[in-house]
Amino acid sequence: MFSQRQLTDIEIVLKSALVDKGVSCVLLIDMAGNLIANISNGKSETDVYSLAALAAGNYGAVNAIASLVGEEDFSLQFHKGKIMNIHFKSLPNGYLIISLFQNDLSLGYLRLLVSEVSKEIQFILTPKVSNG
Amino acid sequence: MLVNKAVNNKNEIDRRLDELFDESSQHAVLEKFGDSFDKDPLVELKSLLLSIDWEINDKVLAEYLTCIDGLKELYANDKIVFNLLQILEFSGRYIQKSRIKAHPNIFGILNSSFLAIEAIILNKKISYIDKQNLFKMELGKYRKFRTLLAKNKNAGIETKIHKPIATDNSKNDHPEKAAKFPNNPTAGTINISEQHFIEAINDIKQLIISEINSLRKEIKCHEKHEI
Amino acid sequence: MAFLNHKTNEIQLKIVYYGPGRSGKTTNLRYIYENFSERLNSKMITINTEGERTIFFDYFPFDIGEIAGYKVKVQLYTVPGQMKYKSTRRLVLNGIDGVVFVANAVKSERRRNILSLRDLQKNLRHYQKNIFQIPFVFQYNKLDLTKKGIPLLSPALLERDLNRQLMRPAYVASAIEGRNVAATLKTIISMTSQSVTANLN
Repeated sequence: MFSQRQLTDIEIVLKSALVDKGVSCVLLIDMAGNLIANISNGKSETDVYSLAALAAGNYGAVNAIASLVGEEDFSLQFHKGKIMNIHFKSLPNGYLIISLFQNDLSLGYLRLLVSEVSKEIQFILTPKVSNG
Repeated sequence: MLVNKAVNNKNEIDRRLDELFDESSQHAVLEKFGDSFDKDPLVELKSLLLSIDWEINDKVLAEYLTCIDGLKELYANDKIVFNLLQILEFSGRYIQKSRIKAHPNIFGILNSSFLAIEAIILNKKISYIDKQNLFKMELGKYRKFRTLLAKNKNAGIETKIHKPIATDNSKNDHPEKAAKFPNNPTAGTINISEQHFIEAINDIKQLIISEINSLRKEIKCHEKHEI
Repeated sequence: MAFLNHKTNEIQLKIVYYGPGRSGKTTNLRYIYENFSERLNSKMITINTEGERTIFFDYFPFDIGEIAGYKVKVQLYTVPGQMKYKSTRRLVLNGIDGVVFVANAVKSERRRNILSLRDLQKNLRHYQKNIFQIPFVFQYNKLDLTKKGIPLLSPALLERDLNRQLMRPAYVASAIEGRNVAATLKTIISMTSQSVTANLN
């Protein structure tokens, strides 16, 4: 369960660090497939709920493959399309940042941005000590 | 007679062995391959650009800049290629310095400048005018990018990751607890030294002006010779 | 666990249709989609595979309006029923809020029903969920096969095999004909919503 404040903070970070830098759409989901936050540049319409469900399933399946081949996980999960590409970044405690981006944005640059954003998001999601 | 026959046989065997294992032909093959490698001096640069496109890290950027240095030496006498390499170098340094703060357009400049260099180097028959035009185009893009950066800076457009509006309540009420949980050190802005930025821009400006002047002189000489 | 978004005032409920292979889980969803999708204004996602069997999951989300001030979004999932897909079943159960157990009423499937229920219990335990506490509805499917003369298990026997301890609502159904499909769904959504709002309060 996240507070409204946490959700607002997450949206601000995702917008300023990713969408404003050229990412078409970014989702934060949990591994149950629930959509926690969703920001887009408004130029494309994506069924984000279905995407969240499929992405969670897909990510889980790929992690199972990783275990089978003796890996803890795969550090890069990325699919390239003709126009739209998708990148996955997992966070501790079972969250996933999904970035949809077009070919005008370099993958290397996106990975840099997402790496930075994930630290911010982790900080926001970390439960703070409550007043007695 | 028998001895002669044995000697002849040995000679024949030796001859055949020499034929089979003649190493002089191997050198010819290696030279041939060597030639073809020389034909594309941009192979390493291309591969490094692809690496940057895939993942940006210190190692790749360092290798990229080293590669550019090598190519600049190789093409020191070709002003146009040299200048295009300069654009690639400055773009690389900008990415190295700015990292996540880099404007995404820089990657387009990297790619198109490289394509221009590739077109010039791999096409031996390219005319001087065409080379010039390619360079002018890339220079124009690079200038536009610089203008954009300067504009953003003047407009105070933040290139930082915005710090979340909310602050941790517990921090205000219980300072001792706040001390245990300091703000994420990577939160908020990552400061690019403004001074460094301005210096870099001025360097680029001076270099481009001097190179254009020397190019102008060359063009005039070239035209005089043609007349 | 139901995901509650305080910013958008939305609750996302995850309901999974579980059961042995070929018991009619996907058929349930397909019936709901074909008959109610216009009203629900949503579409079903099926991962394309060769043949009819589910190997990953089916997914069908829709809104049911406001409850206790929250917009409720129901997400229906099915799991692949075949034994070899146990990892996928476990994956899909992550975050579950309610279960519809679709049992195959055909006589020859008796053992598979029981094994599948045990499998469900084990997988729920993996996520620290108790089968006795989670919103749960049984559906004894394939009633239509009596017309074809195929021997079926009686509802009483199915109750004894599967529901003796759990004592949950159960429906005898024919998913292919749509009998009691909507009733099953309404019951599980109702139970799940009540459970979630009770936890909220």
